[in-house]
Amino acid sequence: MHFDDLTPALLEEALPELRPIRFIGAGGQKRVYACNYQGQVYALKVHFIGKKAADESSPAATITDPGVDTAIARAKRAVEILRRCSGGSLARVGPVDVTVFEVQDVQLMYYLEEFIDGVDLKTDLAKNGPWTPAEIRRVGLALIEAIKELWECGAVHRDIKPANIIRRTADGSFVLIDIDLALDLHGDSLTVPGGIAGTKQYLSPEQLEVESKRSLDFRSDLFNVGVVMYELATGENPFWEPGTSLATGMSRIREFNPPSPKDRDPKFPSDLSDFIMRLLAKKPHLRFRSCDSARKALEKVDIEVVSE
Amino acid sequence: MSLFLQHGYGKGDKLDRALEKGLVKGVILSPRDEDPERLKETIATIRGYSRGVKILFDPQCYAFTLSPVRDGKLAAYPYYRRGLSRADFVGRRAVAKIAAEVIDYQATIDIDGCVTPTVHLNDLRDVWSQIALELIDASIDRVTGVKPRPLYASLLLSERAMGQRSDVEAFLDVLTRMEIDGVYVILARDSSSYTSRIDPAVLENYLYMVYVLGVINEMEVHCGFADTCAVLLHAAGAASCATGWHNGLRQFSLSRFRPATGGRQPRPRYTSSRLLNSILLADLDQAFRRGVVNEVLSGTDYDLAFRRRPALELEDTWDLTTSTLHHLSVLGDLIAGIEGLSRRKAISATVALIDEALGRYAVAQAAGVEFDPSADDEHLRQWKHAIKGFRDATGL
Repeated sequence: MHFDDLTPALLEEALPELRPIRFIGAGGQKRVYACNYQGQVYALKVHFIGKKAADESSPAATITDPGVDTAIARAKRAVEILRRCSGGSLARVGPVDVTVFEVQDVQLMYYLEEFIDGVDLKTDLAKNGPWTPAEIRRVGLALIEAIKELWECGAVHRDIKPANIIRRTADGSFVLIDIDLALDLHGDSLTVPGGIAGTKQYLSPEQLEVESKRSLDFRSDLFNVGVVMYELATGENPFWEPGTSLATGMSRIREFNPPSPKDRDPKFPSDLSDFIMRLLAKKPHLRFRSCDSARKALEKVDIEVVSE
Repeated sequence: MSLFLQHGYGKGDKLDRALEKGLVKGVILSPRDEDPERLKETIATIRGYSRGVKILFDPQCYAFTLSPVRDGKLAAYPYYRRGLSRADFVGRRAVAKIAAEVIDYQATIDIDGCVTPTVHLNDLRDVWSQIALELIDASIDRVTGVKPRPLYASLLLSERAMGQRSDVEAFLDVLTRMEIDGVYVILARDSSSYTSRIDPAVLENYLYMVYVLGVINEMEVHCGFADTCAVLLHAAGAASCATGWHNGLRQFSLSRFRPATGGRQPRPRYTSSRLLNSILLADLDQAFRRGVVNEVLSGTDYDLAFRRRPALELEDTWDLTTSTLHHLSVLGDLIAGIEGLSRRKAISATVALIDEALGRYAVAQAAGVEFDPSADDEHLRQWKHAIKGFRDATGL
């Protein structure tokens, strides 16, 4: 079986306690479903681990790659850490721990996450175009709060992008999802070579430095937020455009200083433009020392649109 | 923005007079120059003048690894260790013990915060740099349980260490992640004799460091042994800059901790706010005789006599206390001139001061004044060069 052919019916057969299951979306080595567990709806996240060899009797029939065990262990640890996070800007981890299971010849793992009824920002941006300064500030504050919470739990998200931010239908608040960064190391959202976790259009300069991976901190996430806010302000990614090669895009992340939102639209509020550009500073020490500092600075920005 | 006094050998009445006149807002204590009991008396004296005067204690742990070392009274301090090598800093426990002893001692004296131990950094990528960061980290752990914050990371950086921007940036990426309230930073000069000249690349990186720590990362940055560079460092975002009563306390050189090699008595100097330099009294004398003394005089309460008579005729009255009070007064006024300005305006105002000083040098030189090489205008060109690079890097 191919991972892409993982239907709700196959899952219901393997995980009957989660019935009914319906498909929501897919990305990289992960598929997301809605499911019901003990009377409550959750997001069911299923990750591909590997395929068994065709010959069951051969030693290769079981997956022996030590990286798999490591990935599972790290995923469990990450989920455990995130279980302690209690704020409203992060999707909560569900009641089931990371669990390995099989469907036909495919080995998978899954866990449950809070189901969020809403629209992701990628969809919203594609449909409605750039946002108002007030809304950009609001989502910025929510993301900073989420990063702070993660950092206090000892984690860095590493994959903050519009598709991973959902505006709740119920109250318009924003939630950061896909906090399973350890799983990303096993391939999820891995869209650039070299073992870099994250999505290429939103990577920070330090995420490109393989040797600095262990020293990534919340300031890398702040850069990712800067890219998101820039996109919401201008409708375009600061470093990538359609057709940009991987090498050019990565070089731009490292070297290129994009025009600020204010440069692109003189009516855009200067303060907010400056704030976004500070998040996009190439060096972590030029961003913000703490999430609290970033939050305070963003709370203070004047979001009045300059009148003509 | 404040001017601090760098305490050291030969205190006399200079500290009292400076405090009495309100010329400094803080004092950085040097244990090398007073034993523990005397130092406590000095602290009591400072407190007697004003509770508002900030007192910091430089534990001078960079002397631990110097050999031979001229460590003065340091050996009387319980935390002091002599002749340490790299091996003595291997392991978390070894570093933690050193940090604990230094922090614990500071908890016993009436000072405003703790300064971490450090080592002399000659290369921001080498093992000593790692040791310095580990000492800061261990101090953070220790200070939590012993003495309330603020905690200041101390750094002693050689000119060589500050020469490469990429090294400075990488170091700052780590330092800005640490849970410290501020930094006490000293630039160790290569030259053991006083000079206003400085490698522009070194100064540019120093300004960048101060800006990143003080402005972007909202730390309290205290620059030791800053002297006339105080104006630039304040403009870049320093909370305080220190200077002392003799040349050895105005610029730091490790030679201060090395066995004395003799040498002549320092020649008397005069600090000119208009030239942004400490010139020789002989230079001031020439300016008077050439009719351009007003291009040079600072106009403090202490230099009135120089308007009326050649400086060398007044040499006997220009004692160390008077020249120190004058020096502090000049630096204090210069700093006050940029206080309250936005960062961009402060930098612009500093550049304007430099341009004006260059003009005054030109006038004096046109009148025939030949400044001693240690007091000419070369440093002003170096400062301008450094500020330009700093502005390019920061967008200010």
